[in-house]
Amino acid sequence: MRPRSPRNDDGSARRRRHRVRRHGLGRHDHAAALTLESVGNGRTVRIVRVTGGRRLVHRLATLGLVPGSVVTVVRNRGPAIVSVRGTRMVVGRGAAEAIEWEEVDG
Amino acid sequence: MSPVIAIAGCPNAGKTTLFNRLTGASHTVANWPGHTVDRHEGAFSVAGRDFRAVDLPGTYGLVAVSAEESIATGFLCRERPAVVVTVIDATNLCAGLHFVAQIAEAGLRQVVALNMSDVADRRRIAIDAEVLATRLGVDVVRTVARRGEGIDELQRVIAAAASSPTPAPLVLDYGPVVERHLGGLVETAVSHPAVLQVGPSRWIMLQLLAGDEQATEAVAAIPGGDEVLEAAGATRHQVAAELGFDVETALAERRFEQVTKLLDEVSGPPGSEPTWRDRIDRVLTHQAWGLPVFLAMMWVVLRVTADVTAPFLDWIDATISGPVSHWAAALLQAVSLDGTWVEGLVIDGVIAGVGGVLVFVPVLFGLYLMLALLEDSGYMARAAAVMDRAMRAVGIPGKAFLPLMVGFGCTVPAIAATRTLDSPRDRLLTGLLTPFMSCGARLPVYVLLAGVFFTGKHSTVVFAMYLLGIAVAVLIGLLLSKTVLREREPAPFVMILPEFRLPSGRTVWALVTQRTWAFVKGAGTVILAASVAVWFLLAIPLGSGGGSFGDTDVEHSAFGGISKAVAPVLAPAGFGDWEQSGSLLTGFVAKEVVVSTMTQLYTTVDTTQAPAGSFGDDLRQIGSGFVTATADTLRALPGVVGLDSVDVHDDTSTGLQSAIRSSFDRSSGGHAALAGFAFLVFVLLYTPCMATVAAFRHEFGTRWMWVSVVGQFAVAWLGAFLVFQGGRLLGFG
Repeated sequence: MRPRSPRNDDGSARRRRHRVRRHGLGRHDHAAALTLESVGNGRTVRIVRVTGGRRLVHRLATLGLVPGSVVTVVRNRGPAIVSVRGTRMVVGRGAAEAIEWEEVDG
Repeated sequence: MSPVIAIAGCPNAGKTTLFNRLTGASHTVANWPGHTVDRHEGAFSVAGRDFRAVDLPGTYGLVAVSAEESIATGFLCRERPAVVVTVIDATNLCAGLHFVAQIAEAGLRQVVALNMSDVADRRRIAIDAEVLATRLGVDVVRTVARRGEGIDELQRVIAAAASSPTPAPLVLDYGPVVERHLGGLVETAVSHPAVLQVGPSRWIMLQLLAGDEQATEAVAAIPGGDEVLEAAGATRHQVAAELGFDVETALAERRFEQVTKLLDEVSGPPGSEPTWRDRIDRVLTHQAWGLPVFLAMMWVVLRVTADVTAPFLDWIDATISGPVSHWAAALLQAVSLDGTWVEGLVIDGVIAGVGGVLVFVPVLFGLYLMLALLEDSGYMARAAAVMDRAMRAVGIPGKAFLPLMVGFGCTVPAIAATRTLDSPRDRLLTGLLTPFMSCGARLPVYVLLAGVFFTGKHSTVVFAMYLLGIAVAVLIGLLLSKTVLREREPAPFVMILPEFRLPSGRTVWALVTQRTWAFVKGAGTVILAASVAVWFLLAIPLGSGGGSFGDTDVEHSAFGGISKAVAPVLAPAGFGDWEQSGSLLTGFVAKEVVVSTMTQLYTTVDTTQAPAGSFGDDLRQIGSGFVTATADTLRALPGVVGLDSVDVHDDTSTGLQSAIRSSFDRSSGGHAALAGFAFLVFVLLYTPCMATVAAFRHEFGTRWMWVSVVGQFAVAWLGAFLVFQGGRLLGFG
């Protein structure tokens, strides 16, 4: 389990467009990833890519958490709650970290 | 043979409620072969034609990679039902339509039940059912299963669909890369005509590309299937390499894209979503606020299963041991069998065994009621979110907290509650851990021995037992999840949060009664058989001075013989007297029996039975007993939220106390208190009772039942041994 993203206690920092943080983990090195925790409640993000084990990829695919899906963040902490095409889902930390997110403008 | 109608759809779409409405009372529940998943079957008829309906387990799609998903996909692949009724939640259209599209691709005759359409109306979600029907080429019926609306029409449409020709499979566009490779694959399939028996060629190939295990299995079974699988496997790698990601994801992406487009056509601009739901969800799944709510809910569940049902339990107990036994005795007297061993067998073996089954009926009824309410209301999914992280540390999912909690009341319903977990592995691991939660029946043993050896420190000793049980469960959970039950990849925690809704009385009632009955049938025989076996052991005399069959004292019975044979095994733990091992042996029957056995073995006082009353008295006793039990239950309901202190009667005679003390003194070589504590540790850790064993077999099969029994005995012995020998080394007691 990785530590929480740094300096999240600063309320104003969270309101910034988004918080970019390096994964620093082997094959993710090339990507600067956006974490769900850094996205404010009520904002929308888009899925860029899904990585991970067979079971996780399968579960995400059956639920429609696939590249291109636009997701509204209902709660950004702990197991996150997101809304995808009107369906509410709980996304555990491990799963949220296996998904590469990007912020949607507007 | 009447045509088979499969009811399919996502979890929480209202499938079971609709199934109940569709089939009415003609409804049976069993297990899917090889799975601990309920299989509901029923029948209905339309205009004189009979149909058989099967409720498939809820899944989000037809690609199956795990055991629990394979049930539905396997059924659709192998049985090719006459019509598939796809139940979709009108407030959750996208997931539903994604499912509908997959059934249509499989070329199955399909009727869509647009369920919960009343909620959608209230939320101003406009849905054009006609556009939906024409675009997907299926019949769409609006239903509100909870109120039974639209069921008649659904039945008519199903009947019409059953006699219509098989539709052409739906063809979706999977993009240039996939389509280019798919063409060649379909040709391979067509050159192996046997493949087409599994389903339409294009669909089969898509399933193989996505990695569906059921399609793979079906194709492998046909002649030349290996060739097809090889071609599909090669294409799979090639497509993944070209696209840069997993094929299943690619297929799902394109399917969802087209479903979303359809959704825009069918449904207008999305209605306003109530914000109160967001707020409630934030509180219920909050890491700090969610916990007290969750614990309060668990407290209610525990109290309902353990306390509220207790008056009925006492009533059943009193009726069986009182009037029913009297009547049996009177009957036997009428045929001049009174006073013979037959009377003993019937009353102490059979009738006591039946009672042993029946006492669990109120408990399980209470548990299944709470489970159905928690699941049907949508709270269970939130609870899983609250506890997930903490429980994952021990290798089990958040939902597993519920069975473990119920285990403090009674292990039998706790084992039954493991059914709420999603994967067989999670169910098994949780099932193996629940017996370590100290159940209510073990308390009297703690109280008795703590009264003998730890006067004034009663509650500390009892509390220590509960804590020790939890600690052992954590250790064993860690051990098993790191070794035998290690997962290559832990189950991902991603799930749909169902809508909150008022549980439907009909569904809950049907589920509760069916599950309770299934338990009585499944576990009842084992409990009854064990009861009769114990009676025989107690009746068979051994050696000289043993008396005759059915008239022997415990020491000289076969039971006493086994106790003496077992005793040396327990000697290293400090309790090697045959009375002690005998008490523990009867503890297999039920833990509270340990106390009565000790009383019986250590004292020579006769237990005289209450004189039998007249038949009328007995009936009156049963009737008034039931009324009292109902009243007591109602009175116990407010107490569910309160924290009553545990009511412990300590009326142990001093004669018994000193007899126990001297026995432990003898068996432990002067370390009586330490041996007493080790004895309690053993009582905490070994098999709770034969009903637990029966429940375990009912849920997990005979093999795992033995693993659990033997494993717990080993853990208990080791625990008691460590306490006794370790304590001696450290100079305690």
